[in-house]
Amino acid sequence: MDLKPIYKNVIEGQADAVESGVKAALAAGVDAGVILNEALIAAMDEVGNRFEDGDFFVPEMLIAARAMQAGLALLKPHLTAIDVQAAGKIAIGTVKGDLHDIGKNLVAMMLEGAGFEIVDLGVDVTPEAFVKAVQEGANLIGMSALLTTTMSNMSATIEALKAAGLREQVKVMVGGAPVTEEFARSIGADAFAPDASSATRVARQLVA
Amino acid sequence: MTELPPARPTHQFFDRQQCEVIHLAALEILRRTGARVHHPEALELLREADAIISDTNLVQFPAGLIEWALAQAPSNVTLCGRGTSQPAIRMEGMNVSFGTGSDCLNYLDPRTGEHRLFKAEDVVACIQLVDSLPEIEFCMSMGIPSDLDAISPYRHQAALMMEYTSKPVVFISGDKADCEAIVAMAAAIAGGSEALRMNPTLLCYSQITTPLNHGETSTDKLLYMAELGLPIVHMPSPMMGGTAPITMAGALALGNAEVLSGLVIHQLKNPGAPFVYGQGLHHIDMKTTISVYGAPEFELARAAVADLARYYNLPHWGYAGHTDSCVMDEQAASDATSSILVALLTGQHLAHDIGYIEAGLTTSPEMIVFSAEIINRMRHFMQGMSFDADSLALELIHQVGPGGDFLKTEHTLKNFRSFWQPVLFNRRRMHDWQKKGSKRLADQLREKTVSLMEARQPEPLSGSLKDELVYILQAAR
Ligand code: B12
Repeated sequence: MDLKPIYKNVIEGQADAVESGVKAALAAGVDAGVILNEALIAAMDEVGNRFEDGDFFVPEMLIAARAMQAGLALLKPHLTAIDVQAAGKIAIGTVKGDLHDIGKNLVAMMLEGAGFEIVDLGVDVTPEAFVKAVQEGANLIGMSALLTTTMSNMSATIEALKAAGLREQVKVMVGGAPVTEEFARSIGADAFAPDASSATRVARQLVA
Repeated sequence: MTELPPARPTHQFFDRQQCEVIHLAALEILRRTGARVHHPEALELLREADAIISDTNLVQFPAGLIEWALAQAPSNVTLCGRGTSQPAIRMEGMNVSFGTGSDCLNYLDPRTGEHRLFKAEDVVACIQLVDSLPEIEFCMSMGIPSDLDAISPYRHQAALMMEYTSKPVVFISGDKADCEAIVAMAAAIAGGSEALRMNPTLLCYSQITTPLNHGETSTDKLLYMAELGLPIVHMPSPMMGGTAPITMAGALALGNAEVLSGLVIHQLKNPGAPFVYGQGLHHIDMKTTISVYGAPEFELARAAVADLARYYNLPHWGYAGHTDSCVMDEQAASDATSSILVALLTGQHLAHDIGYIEAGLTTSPEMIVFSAEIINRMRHFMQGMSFDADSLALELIHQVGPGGDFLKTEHTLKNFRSFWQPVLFNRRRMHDWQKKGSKRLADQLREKTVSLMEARQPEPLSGSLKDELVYILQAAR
């Protein structure tokens, strides 16, 4: 069966058409993992490329992500544990003391569009709350800080993960305007990304 | 012939009716949707004033309460320079004062062209630059020094500003404890807290979180400043398409609801305490996701906010001299020019962020010096034209007569200096310009900036006052 129409409808943000396409593909016996990878995720990759090239704007990207999610919801019961795991579960929030959440929200939406399961911890998130999210199954955490004064809470969170004996089982990604690659390395984070579209790329590499 | 007063360029965006629509919209938002107030004392004040509180901290405001608060707040606020009761800034009518922005991470060094993290010595150099430029009338910190206390940089910045400029200071704070330390320093310099309240040298800048959230720390600062009767600009920055509707009317109404609910809390604490109206209404760029500083929408938003504040008869906060460009280039120059003109035309009382580049992540001293030149130029534009007998000069025209010239007349000699004389802009012709080194504006600007930064020695604080600042800084740790 031709998966192209699903691919195209995700890019165009047509949630209804994606749903009916996914239903038809499942009925025709196409493997759920194949639909996920070759239609949904491939389409979101293309959306990401168009965004980076400046052909797509944020709202268009979000509507494509919504269409992708609609298809994914139908696939979920048919996906194997391995397929689901592949994408990963990310707990994301702004660090303690920081209320700047626009960047964090964008990153979360993009990751969701790329097939990640998102646990949005909101703003002003304590190290303990990040630890708890990992205990509850997140295999990736994303921390955002826009203030010089709150950046230190990123390393406080990493220390808390270590203290809880969880550091080895989770990947840590950081971002926000004052955060740099160098800073990320210095606090022992696994990765840094300067913007939302590179955040998805980096997150995928981390869980690969 | 009848003598008319001088004509001045003006700009009005909203009429009364349009302001009223935004006012009534805010009343409806506050009555129907309400705002969350994460602060026990503020909730208590609101409860006593008959606001309706549900779901722990969701406050719905009766219209009468908001209009009561509007009637309490003073219609004008003045700021003084260090050690004088003479107002340096009068926030009234169409007056406009310009100042820098706060807290950039990065510094674009005019000497080396290097883009790097701010250091304390850069902050000092920038403050001294502000002190030396008459066009810049108040000071914000410009940078967050990467080599100073990272946990509480705000009181250090404030101390530096109080030390290195005698101009009014607008300060940022992390929490109420910062405010206490900063106010204590200003009071020490002013000769006591009474003197500071009568002749305030500082304004507290704090933020409401859009949409409709009054956070605990920022409300703490609001109540503290209200109690002391010292001025505060307590404002949201609704981001169209992000934290606020993408349409300007909706975003403006939302932001207005946020300011007015903040004003209610403030006036309940201390009726008549000075409050500055502000809304950092702006939008998110859907291509790059930055919060945009250089755009026609940004400028329209400024005009809207200024007209709305004037409708309320409240002093207000504005923006100018900023850009999204990463360097001091043609884009930056164009943004500075249009935003400064808009600030003057729309009468924004305190136009801040002079020198911001990279959408508020970097400060460029060259942008500050360039903006000063433009402020000077546009102030001349705003002077408009006089209609008095001397300006009409009919007698002179008659005397010179057909075919004569005006160059040698006394009248020309007396008046030619009122024309704007640029410092940076070139008016030489090609051969002459080449002889002078073929300098482009950017070259002139860099040289001028560096020489200003090297020359300046501000009025020093007396030794004992300096000791007192150091003492307060250390006690606060
Ligand atoms: C909007 C704004 C606010 C709003 C925030 C509203 C909200 N709901 O978020 C309000 C008005 C509440 C606010 C408050 C304050 N602010 Co503010 N704010 C800004 C502003 C103008 C834009 C930030 C923004 O949203 N940008 C757009 C988003 C999309 O970009 P972004 O956040 O950088 O995110 C992108 C990347 O960084 C990355 N990313 C972000 N997070 C993550 C996470 C991960 C895991 C990854 C991989 C990537 C990633 O991807 C994102 C998308 O591409 C900036 C200036 C600026 N240009 O950044 C100042 C700025 C950040 N604020 C500043 C300050 C000082 C404050 C206040 C302290 C002021 C005060 N005293 O009241 C308070 C602090 C409140 C608090 N406790 O957090 C300073 C910070 C200086 C510093 N170095 O510490 C700045 C730089 C302005 C300045 N020059 O003064 N602010």
